Amino acid sequence: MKKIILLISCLAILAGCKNKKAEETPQQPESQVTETVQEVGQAIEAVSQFLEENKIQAKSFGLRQEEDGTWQLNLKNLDANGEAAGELLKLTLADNVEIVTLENGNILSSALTDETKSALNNKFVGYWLDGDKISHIVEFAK
Amino acid sequence: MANSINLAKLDANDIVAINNAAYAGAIKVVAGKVAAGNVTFEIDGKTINLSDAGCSYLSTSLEPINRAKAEERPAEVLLALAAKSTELITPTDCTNPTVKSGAASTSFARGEKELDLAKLSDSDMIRFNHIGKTGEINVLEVKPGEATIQVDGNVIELSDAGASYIDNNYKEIKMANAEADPTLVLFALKAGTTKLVSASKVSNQKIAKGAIDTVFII
Repeated sequence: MKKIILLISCLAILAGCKNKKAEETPQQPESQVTETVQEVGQAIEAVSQFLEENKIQAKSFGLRQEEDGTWQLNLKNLDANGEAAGELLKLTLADNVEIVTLENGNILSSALTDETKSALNNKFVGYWLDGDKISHIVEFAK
Repeated sequence: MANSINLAKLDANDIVAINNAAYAGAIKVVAGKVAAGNVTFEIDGKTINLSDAGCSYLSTSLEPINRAKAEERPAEVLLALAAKSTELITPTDCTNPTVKSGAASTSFARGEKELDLAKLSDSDMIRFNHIGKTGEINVLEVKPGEATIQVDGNVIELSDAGASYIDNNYKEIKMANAEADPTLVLFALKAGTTKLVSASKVSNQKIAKGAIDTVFII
């Protein structure tokens, strides 16, 4: 996930530099600017596809804090029919994980509390792993 | 769920869940103390006597009250003893029109002090009552000596190896903390099993004797 974020950051910088260059050289042909925008667009599309392919869909049953302070998400991955199946998984959240809740648009950070921990109770989520830890969670409606 | 419960039909091992908007608890009989028009029973560790001659209403703060007080604050009436009977009834079924119209309804349901999670189906909904508090339990995973459950939305792991008790703030606690104040214990995972038990039924007698019953209702 860090590589993905780094890649997105690089693309943004690249796009920024090219736009800046375009501003500095107003006589730059319009076709060159268009080409740059297309390149950036294609790269973003590739990243989006990569993210989609690596997203794991699951039903989340809720967060629980361990004695050492780390947070664990209880979930079951979805099968081909979109149903929660298999064993209950207990995956640890990586530090600084962000949880995006789509229903209200709020973003929960890893600074979870007893009051906010129920945000992912019985919700459908997409998640990404960084090693054996969850690096990002996105709630979706089903 | 019923609108009444006949104490004469309960034995010493029976437990009844009682639910009202203002109170949720558990009732059990006191052996040999149930007669028509005069009953003694226990609710959440407190012994209550209601009679036709004295106080025949019980308030939501678990105080026996007479007709005048019940009429004064009908919304605070939890239950009543039906005249010349051994039946506890919802105040909304009282013959007294002031109490009947001003009260909130109370329901009664036979419950259990022990529940085998492995025998439940996915569609079973489990509720519990404990000293005024009511909540819902959902089973996520259960194996002998290990259970992961949701208790009112809180994910709880109970295990023989770790914490096997849960307190009334929905925190997992170990035996030493449960022994320190058994009245705070909601229930426990029975060692080596898939059963949840009321703190009053655990094998640790220090906890069992000091605990107040938790009743499970399916």
